[in-house]
Amino acid sequence: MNKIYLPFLIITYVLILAGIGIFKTGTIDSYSDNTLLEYFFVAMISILFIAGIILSIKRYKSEKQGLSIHDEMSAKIVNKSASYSFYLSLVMWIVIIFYQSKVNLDGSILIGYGMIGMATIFIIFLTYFNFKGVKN
Amino acid sequence: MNNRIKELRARHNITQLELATRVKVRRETIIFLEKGKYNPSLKLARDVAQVFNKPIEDVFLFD
Repeated sequence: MNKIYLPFLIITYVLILAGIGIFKTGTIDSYSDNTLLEYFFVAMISILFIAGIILSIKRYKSEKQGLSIHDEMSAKIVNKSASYSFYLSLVMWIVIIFYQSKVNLDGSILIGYGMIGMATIFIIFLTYFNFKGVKN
Repeated sequence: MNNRIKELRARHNITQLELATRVKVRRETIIFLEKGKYNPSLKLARDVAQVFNKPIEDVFLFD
């Protein structure tokens, strides 16, 4: 499969996840006792969606110019982003476990939040290292 | 590690895009290389040096 279509697949995945989330919990307004979490969920989905669109455009432009989409620096950026997001995700899961009893949400929905949170953390690090670069 | 890529590019009249195509990397990689924000692999360093017909140590300056 051509790697240019990967971001489009990610966007579809995010939209399906968002759809399932909204379908399972009803409309976004219906669970008003967790308003902060609702906004957080929408913000995370938006970040993933925008990042997917930007990544797709960048890849499409590179492909059109005859440049390679992946090279050694992009591989290093992905590796570094993955390792940093792994450590931050561990902290995030600890926070989720700690606050699990305090928020009135189903366990499966919390796991969904956690998964989307992990993807968001990874995308944030990916964007950061894409701008900052990796020296080693 | 510093390098003379920008200077050599100007001397050989090669754009970042052209250099990226010739060494088969993304243009961003060349930008980061020139800024000294990325240390290339030995293979990429050799490929870049070959474009300018120079030995690696003439393009990449080790401290």
